[in-house]
Amino acid sequence: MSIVNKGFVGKGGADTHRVPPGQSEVTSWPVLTYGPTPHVDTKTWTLTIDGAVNTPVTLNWKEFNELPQLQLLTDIHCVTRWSKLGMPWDGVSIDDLIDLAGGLRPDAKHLIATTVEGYTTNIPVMDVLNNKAMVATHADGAPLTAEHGGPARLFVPHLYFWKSAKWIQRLTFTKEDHPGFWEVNGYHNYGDPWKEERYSDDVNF
Amino acid sequence: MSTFSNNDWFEATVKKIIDESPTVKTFVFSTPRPITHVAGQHYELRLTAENGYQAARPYSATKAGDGKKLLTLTIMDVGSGEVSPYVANALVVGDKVEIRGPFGRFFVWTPEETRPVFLVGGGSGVVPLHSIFTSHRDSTSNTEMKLLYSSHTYEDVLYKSDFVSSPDVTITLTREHPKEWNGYTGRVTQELLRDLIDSFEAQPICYVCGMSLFVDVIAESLQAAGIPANTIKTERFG
Repeated sequence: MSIVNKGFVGKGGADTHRVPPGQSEVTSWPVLTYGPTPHVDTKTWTLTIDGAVNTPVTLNWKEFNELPQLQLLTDIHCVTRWSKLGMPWDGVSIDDLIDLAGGLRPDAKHLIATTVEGYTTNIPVMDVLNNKAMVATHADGAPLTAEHGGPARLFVPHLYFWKSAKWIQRLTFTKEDHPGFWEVNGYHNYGDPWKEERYSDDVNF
Repeated sequence: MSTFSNNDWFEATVKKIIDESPTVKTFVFSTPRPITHVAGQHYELRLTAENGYQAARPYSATKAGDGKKLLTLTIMDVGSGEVSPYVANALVVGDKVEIRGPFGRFFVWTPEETRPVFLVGGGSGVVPLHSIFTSHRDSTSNTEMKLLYSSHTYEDVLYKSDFVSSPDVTITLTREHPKEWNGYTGRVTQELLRDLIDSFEAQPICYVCGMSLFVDVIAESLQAAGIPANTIKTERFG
């Protein structure tokens, strides 16, 4: 690297085992959304698991909350370069939701998550199995507020946080990949924070 | 012919620094390649410490790229930030930084857009809106575009030469205002939003940028004024 910005020291010294490259730790919890915040009523809330599953199912809020609870104590990483460490998240594991839908069919290769306003995001199915992901209802012990995706959002903490779609309504398993909202608007298709997969490549623009 | 990826870092040299307000500066960088982004896109700026430590942050471009080897970014000194205080206070003309981009294809505007546009910005959230506003002004587009800009004080108003006397710009000063100020004061009200929306010949699509709380309040008010949620684009910070 030939450039050195003399006198710049930054806030280095972050825990590099916890904070991926190019990220800075924050204690606040910034809100990023591409549009207005929807206000979702749990009285009418539903979650559908469909596509390449054996018995597609739709749950209401009461049925969903009677499912076994998973807690993940983990870190989240936003592509806008902040990470928030050590948050407890509660919800229902994707494995349990798949079981409830009769299990995956062999051609289930991708999860397409759809929110109440029609936002979508795509994740390889292997990235949501084995308790790596859930539909979360609580963070830091408190119900998710609307601006953070409440009453329930997808939670896939090992990928950049736009993959953890807010106001989740539908989990569709598919054979083909279908790049979602940010993925077709210039962001990386997979989004591994440890490899800094932030943006898609535009060449010759 | 060489090809560039927007993910490749390039060296940029500070060519000019413009004081926009007490905490905001606009930097003109000379770049090794032509700058051709559309209005609303952002870049990342990266600093490197003597020990090799690096930190980068996203910043909106001040105006659309015009194919010249010049890039203009407006950067606010967020006192507690890691990158912006150094950029705002230590960078001088001739210094080099690394930049890459452009990024983002959602919060953008091009002259192909045929719908009227209502821009609403709070504080430094007006930066990408300035890019959109001037891009529209300087294009052959004859669709309506209006900007509502909420600023703490008159001193904090950015891009005064483009905004203050424009008939398409409404500024409201929320904290204090000069004695001779005859524009709006106080926070954006539902009434003001509704009046501005009603002044369009057809219902506009909306771009809202600012602190998250500001954006939420404005987005709610726009919906209350009849704008469908799916025609409101937002960009938030803080």
